Amino acid sequence: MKKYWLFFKANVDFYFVYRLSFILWRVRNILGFLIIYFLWSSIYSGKTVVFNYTQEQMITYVLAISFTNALIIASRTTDIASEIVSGDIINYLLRPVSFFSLVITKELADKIVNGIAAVIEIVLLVLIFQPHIFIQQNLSVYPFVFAALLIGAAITFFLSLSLSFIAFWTSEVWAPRFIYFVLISMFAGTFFPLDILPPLLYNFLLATPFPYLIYLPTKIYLTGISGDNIKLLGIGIIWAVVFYFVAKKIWQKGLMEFSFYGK
Amino acid sequence: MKKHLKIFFLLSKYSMKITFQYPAGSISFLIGKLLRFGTYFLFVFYLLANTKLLVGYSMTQTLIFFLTFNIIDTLSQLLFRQVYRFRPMVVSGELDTVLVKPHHPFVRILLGGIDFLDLLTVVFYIGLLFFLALQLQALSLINIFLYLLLMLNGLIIATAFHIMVLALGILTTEVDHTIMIYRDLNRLGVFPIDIYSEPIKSIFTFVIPIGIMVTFPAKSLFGILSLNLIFISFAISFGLFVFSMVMWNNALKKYQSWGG
Repeated sequence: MKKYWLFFKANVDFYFVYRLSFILWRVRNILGFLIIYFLWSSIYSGKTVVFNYTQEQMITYVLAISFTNALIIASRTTDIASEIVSGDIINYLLRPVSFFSLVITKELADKIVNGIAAVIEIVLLVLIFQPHIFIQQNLSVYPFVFAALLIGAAITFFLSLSLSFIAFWTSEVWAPRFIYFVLISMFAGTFFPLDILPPLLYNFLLATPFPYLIYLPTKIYLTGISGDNIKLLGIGIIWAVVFYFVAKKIWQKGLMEFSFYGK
Repeated sequence: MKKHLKIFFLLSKYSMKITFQYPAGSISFLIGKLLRFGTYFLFVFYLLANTKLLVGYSMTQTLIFFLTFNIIDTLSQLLFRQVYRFRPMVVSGELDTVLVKPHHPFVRILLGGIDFLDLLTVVFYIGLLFFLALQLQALSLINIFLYLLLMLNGLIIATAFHIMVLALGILTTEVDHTIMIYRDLNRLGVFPIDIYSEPIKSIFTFVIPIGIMVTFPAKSLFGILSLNLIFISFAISFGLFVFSMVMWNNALKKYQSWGG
């Protein structure tokens, strides 16, 4: 356990060594927030309810995206593809440690550092813009929000891991990754709550893994516990399990393909 | 000039060969780019179909703002893709081999990696823009001329930003995100800059002139941009370009040849 703790600490330290890169990464997130925040603020100008959302709910949704993005979308698993292509992954495979435990530890460090930074940013943004935000008073909702966040993080982790494992067969790993980011940016709810879409499209999206990344945790926070939300949590768990097995299968097959010539 | 053009065309030919060397990857990227554009376009369309106006602009006008942003953004990516590969050149010392060559380094590090996939997408955006512009009621020849002029002005600003990124790449090799920061700043102009409240609006219009780069051309097409602002736009783009060149020259003086 100690070796994983040291690996965790080393990964946290990484952000403090490359401070400027980390700060710029967070600045990028704030810029992304500004676009969505001001877009929705202008849409609500002179209106109280748009697409069945009050301004307070929509702005809370937008702020929550900053946090869920940091916890769910941001992932260090993207590095694995280049490590496979360069052969550096051998450094993990030869050591007396579990590869998956190392990856999870790295992911955890990333999410904790980025999550804390996102909370600080949200507090600052609320202080600067002073928007009316919705605070969920029902404390029993929070465990469900937490569960939805865990499910979202698990889906992203295994899905992103599977994409990185493509590198076992081809060095052209960036095109599928690019399509993955495009799909997430639109269909995970990073720009707007998905239920503002026409019902047919919304129901179609619910059959894909994307709404369970960003939309669901935020939706549960805003609307509380309901039969529909519990059902969506269940579907989210199924997607997480499916991608766990997909990632495991690709990993096992990929290892059979992997060859390394040394440096 | 003739020598530079020859090198530029030669590098572009190589770039095209690299793009089509991996057809599956290139097609996937193209699909991704069109998917991203298509979904955002439909989102703006759907949003405006329900809300009718965005800060006073109709659906057609908002879509023209969106397309103008996409055309300038895509053209600058098409021309300046090599900037994205600049940092490894500095770190590995490959930049030395560029600087000692008897041609301007920008031919290689700024314009040396034309992205042909963006050429395909930009043609599509221009066609769509043409279709939407025809639906504007106040369309006139002078407005079209000003639109094209301000688009060119926007490209000069984009060039200046890319030169500044190159200069920063030399000054601080630690920075991985500079070009992406530019992309994110630029993306603030995906909607008319009027959606932002003061002082953010003024900052992103006159200090970091994203508004001038992507919002002003569309405004001139609608005939709602004053002559004063048009002149200010040209003055700011000229100033920014000069500043970027000064920054580049200073960065070169501080360059110590990192790798090798």
